[in-house]
Amino acid sequence: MNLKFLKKSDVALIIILLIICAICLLPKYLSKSDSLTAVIIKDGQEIERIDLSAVTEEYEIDLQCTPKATITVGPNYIFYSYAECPDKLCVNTGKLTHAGDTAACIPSKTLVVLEGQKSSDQPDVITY
Amino acid sequence: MNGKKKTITTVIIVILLIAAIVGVGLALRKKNTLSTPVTNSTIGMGTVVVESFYCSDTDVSNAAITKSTKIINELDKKRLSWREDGSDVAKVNANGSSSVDSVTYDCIKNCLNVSSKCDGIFDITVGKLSGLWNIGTEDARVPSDEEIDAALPTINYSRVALSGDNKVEIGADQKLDLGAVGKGLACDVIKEYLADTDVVGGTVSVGGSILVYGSNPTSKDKSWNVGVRDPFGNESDYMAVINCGPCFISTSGDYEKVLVADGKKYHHILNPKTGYPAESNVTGVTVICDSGALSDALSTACFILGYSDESLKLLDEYNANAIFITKDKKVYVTKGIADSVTITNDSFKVEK
Repeated sequence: MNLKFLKKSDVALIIILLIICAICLLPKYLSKSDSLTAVIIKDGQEIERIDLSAVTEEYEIDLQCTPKATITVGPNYIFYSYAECPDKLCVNTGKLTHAGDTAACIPSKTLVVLEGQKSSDQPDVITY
Repeated sequence: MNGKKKTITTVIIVILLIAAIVGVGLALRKKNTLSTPVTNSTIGMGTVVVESFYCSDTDVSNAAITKSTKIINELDKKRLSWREDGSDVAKVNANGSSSVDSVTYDCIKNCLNVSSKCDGIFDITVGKLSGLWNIGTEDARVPSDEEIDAALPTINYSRVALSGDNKVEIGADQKLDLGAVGKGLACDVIKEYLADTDVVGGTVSVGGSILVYGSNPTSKDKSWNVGVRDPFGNESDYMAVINCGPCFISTSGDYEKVLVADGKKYHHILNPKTGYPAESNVTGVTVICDSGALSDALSTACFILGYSDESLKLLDEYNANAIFITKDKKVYVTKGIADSVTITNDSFKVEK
């Protein structure tokens, strides 16, 4: 190669800059994983954040609220397993498994939301 | 001479490379914030609120979330809730008449207009009746026939008088209940606020009443997809998708807020003529139009009326469209949105 205006050190510099460039872009590609995160909110405050894709065994969380409510956490799912409120809407919601799924216990002011990348065929929002 | 030239070339190449890196970095950053919305879920107006906004500046989206949540809570506390002493509605109910905020006044005016077009099948003077049932609260119960018979004559929208200074007056025996339109009204107020921000687009769901705002930066034609809850499925199941531009969407269904007493299920949409939960040929109605409070009022009225000439005529009056789901899984879609609705669950059948 006859690089008239370039010294070896110039080429080295360009390569180094290209490597820096690649390193800068790397996180964007690495972050595209299929992680599913459950966020538990009580009285408007986030009290727990669980990576459901990392859960291997089922366990329970007592939300320590009034009326009482318990959440069961498992591999890629989460649900209200027990509630002392009269209508049991939160328990009847069933298992949350997709990004965007939400279950709430209004009387105890608690809420569980699943965060993660929504698949492209899922609607932006659901009316009910 | 030659050495100097080389240095200049090197400097130019280095500058170009740095510019390229910064350029690519900025472009990716911008694309990134417009490809994923900033989303927040919380509890407000006694229901689940989900706000989701797209903006190249995440600070703007975060501020929009904080403000939207505040709008919902203040609307409930200061304007609409009859349980909050000092709210506009509570003041009217306690004193028989009161001056109210212009948002409350305009909403009441629009509600009375809807009542006049459906012969009072939707009526905000149901306060006494809804206070007996209390469905959706911990005090929910089935009232006695005597109690219901006593409450029915108090329901009459034509006895509500509006006058200057945003004054609202009701009959001495009447009570207002704006619960049917509060969530949609919140969507209206949030839309007005968003117009003054740099938010590109987004959705707000106040207990299933939806504001579809601006353009969707993740879709080719900037449109949005709104799922319609499957009345026979779980809470996150949908049976159809509406492809739409900016609009308001509201659903009334008999699967929401249910009271079970003596083995019988009672849902929360009361028929002001009978005093009991409405029974018609539909299990859910979704209305799409250009006002949130109106979409709420119309979906309530259409649910009570069922799929009928009356409900279609009412929708026509307001240039609104709807999806009716009957108890035997038949789906009726009005002409204006027939091409925008896709059924995603095969067990439902669209009737032409």
